[in-house]
Amino acid sequence: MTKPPVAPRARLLALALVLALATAACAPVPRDPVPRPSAPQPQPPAVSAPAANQRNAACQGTTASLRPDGTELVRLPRGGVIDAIRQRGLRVGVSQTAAKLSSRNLRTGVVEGLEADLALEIARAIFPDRDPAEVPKLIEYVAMPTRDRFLALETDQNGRFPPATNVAKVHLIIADASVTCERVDTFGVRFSVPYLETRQALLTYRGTDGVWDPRTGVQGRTVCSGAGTVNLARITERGGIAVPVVDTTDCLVQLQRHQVDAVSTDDVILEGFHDQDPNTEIHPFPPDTTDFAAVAVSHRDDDLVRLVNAVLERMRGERMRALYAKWFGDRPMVMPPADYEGG
Amino acid sequence: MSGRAAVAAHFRRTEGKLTLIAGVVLAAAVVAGLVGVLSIGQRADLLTDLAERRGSVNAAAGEVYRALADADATSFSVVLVNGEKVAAQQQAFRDDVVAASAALDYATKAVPEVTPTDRVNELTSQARRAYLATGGLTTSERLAVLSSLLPVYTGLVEAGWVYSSRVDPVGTSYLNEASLLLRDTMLELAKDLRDASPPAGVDSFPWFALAVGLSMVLLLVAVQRYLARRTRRRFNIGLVLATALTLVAFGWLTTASLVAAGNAAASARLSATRLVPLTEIRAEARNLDGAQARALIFPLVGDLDELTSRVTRIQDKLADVRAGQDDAVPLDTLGQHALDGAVVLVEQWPAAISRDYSASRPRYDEVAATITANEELKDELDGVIATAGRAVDQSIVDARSALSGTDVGVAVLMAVAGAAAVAGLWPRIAEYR
Repeated sequence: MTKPPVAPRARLLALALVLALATAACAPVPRDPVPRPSAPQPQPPAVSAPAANQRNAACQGTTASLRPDGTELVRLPRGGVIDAIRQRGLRVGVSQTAAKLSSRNLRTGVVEGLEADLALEIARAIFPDRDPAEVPKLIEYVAMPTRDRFLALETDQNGRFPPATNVAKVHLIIADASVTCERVDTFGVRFSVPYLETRQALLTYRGTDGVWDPRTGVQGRTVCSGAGTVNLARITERGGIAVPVVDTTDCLVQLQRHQVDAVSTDDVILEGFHDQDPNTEIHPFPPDTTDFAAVAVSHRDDDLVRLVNAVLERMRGERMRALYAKWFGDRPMVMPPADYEGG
Repeated sequence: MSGRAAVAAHFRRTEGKLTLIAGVVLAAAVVAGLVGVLSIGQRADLLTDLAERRGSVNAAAGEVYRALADADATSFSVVLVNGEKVAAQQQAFRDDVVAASAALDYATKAVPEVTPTDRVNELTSQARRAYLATGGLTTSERLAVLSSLLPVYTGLVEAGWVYSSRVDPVGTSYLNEASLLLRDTMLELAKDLRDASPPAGVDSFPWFALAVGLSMVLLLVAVQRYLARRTRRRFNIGLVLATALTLVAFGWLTTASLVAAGNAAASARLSATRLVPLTEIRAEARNLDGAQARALIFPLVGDLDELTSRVTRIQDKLADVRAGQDDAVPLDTLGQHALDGAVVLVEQWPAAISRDYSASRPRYDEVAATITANEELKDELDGVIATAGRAVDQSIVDARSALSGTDVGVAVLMAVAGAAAVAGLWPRIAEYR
């Protein structure tokens, strides 16, 4: 009779619990948010550069060229490399990815540009007896990524460097190669007289105002350039973060993919980049540095060096001006003076 | 107090002892049946998982690998062909990308784990990218990373085509970077997506279940001997029946497990000796196409060596597949012919490659035409790969079906065995009442 009313309260509690559980089961389960990962960047090609040794020691070889005696174009030097070329054809190493200098139409394989035209002039001098229309077929262009350019020459130095044995061998390299003493010493290169004067410049996107002013320098900025080039060292010297790539044109990809702040290389190459992406602009890269681009030949092939020099000297003046105008329009350009051994 | 004494007294009498024995035998039958069912169930679950989840991932992995390798080769072919072929090759590339994407999606659905966004971002970050291909990633991570790299890769290739068609040299650089991303990272990730080794336990001998079964038999024999001494009847029909049923149940369990294990092992072996290497050979042949095209339009240091070593690798793998024939699932005549054809074809490649690097090399357009002429080894290997894939799947299905019904069978047999033992003991207990 005096039982406390526990049972109804317990029942009530149980009911409340069941209700609470039922409500919880009906409540929407919090779902995972829709994933939003960021776009990965392509990995730039790893660069292990067989680069020219940066050395401070005095130059062992010489950057001076060999003076043609004027007979090369009249009477071809017999024996040696010229005969070999006349039998097998002329193999020319070109960048192939530098617009206006040398670029290959991938569909046809035809190489066009100022450097391709130079190669044609040289070939015409080596094959004076052939139909000029047939001469282009006697030239075989081999693409030279910036980093590996000089390995393609058959020199004593390259013979001692194992990876160089795999590179297709060429007679001439016409690939905006700046004349430097390191290259003479490291790769056994003999340069011709220069055919182009270049300035290192800087390419950025337009509208970097407010973020940084490229004219004030590259301090702390990532700047891309070809591995093994003179440009790369200058970026570091000026406080920039140098990003080396196997081929200079990879730099344009990196800029377009927003992986670097700027590209720095010769102004002639940057003009080609600007043509391909008009959303960019070219700035000077102070202090003003001038490089000379020349044809690179093996130190073993003196005859070929003289013949190339003879061809270039013949073009000096009107014909070279016409060639500059053909590829670079009204840009003021002048063929640099020759520097011959023995003055 | 008095209750406990009464129980003790009860079990001291023969009647009580027999009751106790009946209880123990019944309990042992239940335990043995349970162990048998669980042993079969565990193996069946592993096999089901192998057939469904891992089977799906493996099948998708093969397709991703093939599609990506084809895409790499086609990305270069597009800039080497002319006219309408350009559009056709571009379409083939896009089909491959969509196929890879669909296969990734298919595999993702079969994997229950989800990789968090932060983890994907971390894996694809610049700092980690160089180690992506070599790092130990989970299947879910691999799928997530591949899914996030695929659109980036496609974008690079399409940009490369547009620039190249305008004869802008940066197009070559785009195609190169795309190919590098594909070969060094994506293909390596896709290659390891496949996990062909059977999970532990699928092909093991059922030692534990068998031991439990044998203990049950020993228990029944001991009970028989005890009963024979007590009742001077040599055989108890119920216990004999229970013993026989236990032997049948565990004999069945062992046989079914061994057949399943054999099939699972055969599937793994076939996968490792035929399906995986052939898929790789097929992809490497397409990679070689891509590498040759790249070497034509953009030669690099060591191209000749690299191409030659690629051919050697393909030749070695083909020889391994031919040497490591599985007697259980021999290659059919068609497959044999296909492999012979592939070997003959690959034998001609080194000569063709060294010709392309010799002084008497063919013209650019001739080399380009040779490279883009056909999809190397597609005709030879696609059929064999499909057959091998089906055989691998079939072995798993066979393994699974060898077990089907065994769990129910063992359970029923052990239940009947327990009942028979109790039924055999019951009249003896009743005699003492």
